[in-house]
Amino acid sequence: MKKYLATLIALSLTSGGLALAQEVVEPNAANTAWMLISTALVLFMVIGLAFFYGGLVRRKNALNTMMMSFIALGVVGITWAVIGYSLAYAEGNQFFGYLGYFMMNNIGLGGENIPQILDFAFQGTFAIITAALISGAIVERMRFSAYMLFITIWSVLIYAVMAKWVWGGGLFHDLAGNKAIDFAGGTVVHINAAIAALVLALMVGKRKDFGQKAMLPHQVPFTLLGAGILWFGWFGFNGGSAYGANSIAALALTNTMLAPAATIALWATLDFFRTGKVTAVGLATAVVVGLVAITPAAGVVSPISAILIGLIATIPCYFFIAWRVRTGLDDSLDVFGAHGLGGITGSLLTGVFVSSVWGGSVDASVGQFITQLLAVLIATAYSAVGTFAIASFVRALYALTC
Amino acid sequence: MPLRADDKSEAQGLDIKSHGEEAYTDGEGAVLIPVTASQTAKSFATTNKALGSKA
Repeated sequence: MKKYLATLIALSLTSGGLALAQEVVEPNAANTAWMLISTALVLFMVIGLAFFYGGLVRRKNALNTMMMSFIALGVVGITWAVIGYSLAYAEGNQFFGYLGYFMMNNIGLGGENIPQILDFAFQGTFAIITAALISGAIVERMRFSAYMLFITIWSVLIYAVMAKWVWGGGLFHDLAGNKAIDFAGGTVVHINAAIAALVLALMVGKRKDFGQKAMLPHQVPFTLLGAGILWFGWFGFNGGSAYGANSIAALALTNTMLAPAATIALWATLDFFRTGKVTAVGLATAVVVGLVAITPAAGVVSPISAILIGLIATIPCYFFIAWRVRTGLDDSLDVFGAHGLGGITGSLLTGVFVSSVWGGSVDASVGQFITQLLAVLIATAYSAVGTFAIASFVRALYALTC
Repeated sequence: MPLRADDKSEAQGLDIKSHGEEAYTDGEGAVLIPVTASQTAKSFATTNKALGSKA
């Protein structure tokens, strides 16, 4: 095995990993152009997330919080190139891919639709933002080096593996007789990151002053700017998941516009009737909830269904976040409240609104809803157990070395 | 608990402890802030040495 790995690494390094010398099948130019733009848009979301989170913390932790998003650009980008993409998309079994794309080996410039290397980059941006999302739950108290190590391991063992299940022809392609529908990452991105965030928040513990002092956002305009950038980038996140400049991308983009519009409207109304004021932080959160909720359904439901999904997802998220701040749970920036509950609601509703009865794209039945539910439960369990194991390992490593 | 920063760093803010920088300063912009007194002394010594060698 050691010899095999050593040979593989040597070959990858000497060949530059890429299959550059192979004859290139020229891909579709329009689709490639759209995917190039989408990839850049998704990467820009990481910067949006840094501003979104950075504005919500106290000024003494602003840089640290923003750095938690920026560091993911580095470490997760590298793990994706080394092994993440291979685990997610190389030929393998139901649970993970083998080492076919290890160190970017065999990834070509050609492709029937888009260049394979562009698929690598597009999917890599998803891995990066998923890991960065976790930081919202543990800001202002987790060691930066421990966080770095955690997301490095997590992006390989949890994210890449789950990406295989959902998009790489793995486990979720046949759950109770149906394929689990996750158009752009409701389970693999949002539920996955939110559950990891929740587990990590519980393991790290609450901030020292939590519940005793008001810990107010230091720069709300940053948060609004971040929410705006996230929304802008999300057009690439959902629209790019159509893998082409086509009608599905147009539908996904339209739904990405409408679902957050619905969440904003309802969130503002609830805010007004509950507190008498419509808060800026509340509306920024509403944008994210709407975007998260429509993610699994973006290219497979009608625009009216997207509005309904946005409206329905607002209810659990709004009331959970309102309740959470009165508890001892220091999920500091409400990753679970927004991404977890938004993702779960969106994933389950996808099983309903995907039906042609609602103007969706397939003749789905109750069985599809059961499949969606199973996917949510499996993703939740795997993320929770995996996160606990990785965080425990990181803690043990620190106990050994520090 | 090694996953989290110590109490002093948490109270001071993680910008300084983890990055040696602050997002907002009242003076001449973001500067690298030495974390400990010994590092401060070392930093001054290095600066003085550099100034001396130029002179």
